[in-house]
Amino acid sequence: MSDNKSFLIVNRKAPFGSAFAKEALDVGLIAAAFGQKLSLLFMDDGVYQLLKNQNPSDINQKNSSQTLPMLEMYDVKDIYVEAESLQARNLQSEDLLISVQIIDSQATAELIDQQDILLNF
Amino acid sequence: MKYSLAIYGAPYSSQAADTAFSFAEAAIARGHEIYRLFFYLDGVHNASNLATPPQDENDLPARWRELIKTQNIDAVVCIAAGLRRGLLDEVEQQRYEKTGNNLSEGFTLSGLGQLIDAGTHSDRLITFGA
Repeated sequence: MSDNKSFLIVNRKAPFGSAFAKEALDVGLIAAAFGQKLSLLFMDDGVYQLLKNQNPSDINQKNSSQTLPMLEMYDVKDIYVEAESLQARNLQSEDLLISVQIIDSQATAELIDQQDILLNF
Repeated sequence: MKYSLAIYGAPYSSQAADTAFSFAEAAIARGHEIYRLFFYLDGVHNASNLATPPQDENDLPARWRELIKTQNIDAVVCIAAGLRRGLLDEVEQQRYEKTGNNLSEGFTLSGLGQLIDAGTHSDRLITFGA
């Protein structure tokens, strides 16, 4: 077994309403710190995690999106967003807080297929 | 085959933890190895020794304890997820000066690195409750 497997964290849930988005990001940062080959995929309501100008203090939540730019510090460059999920929500790349690669559902399927480990959140 | 299980669902809230338990039992019965159970998000509640379900209901936390003990399985609760949700061992109870602790015997509190390690060192890592 290879000690350096490829990990893909799949984010499919909205940033608030459950702890998934926040705790998924924690896993991403740890995987990156461990030096694993790491990619992130945002799809379905998960694309909302990337929106600019989030202000969840009104609902007593921390603004986890402020942690997203840290991924770049950890050298995580493979951040993907499924195009169809953006389109369905009338969102464009300009609405997003960090630079991402926007890929269609066919490329998303291929991305998932290439991974050793999938972590779904 | 060497399996690890990531469990995100609390007992009595979703079926995820029951399914994970059944999977673990079945895998062992077929001669497979469980490399690690990793409890994260609401899954940390599986490790509580204070859960008190009615007598005619499946006592899942007790069944986890039994399985982990008899099969000598490495069972890790994410420490950050656990502390947030009130899952403490004696060390953390003293550190944070709390009135009690409730981490079941056989479980350990540790970091998310154990989840990454489980992915790296298992043939399959399976998520329950995402």
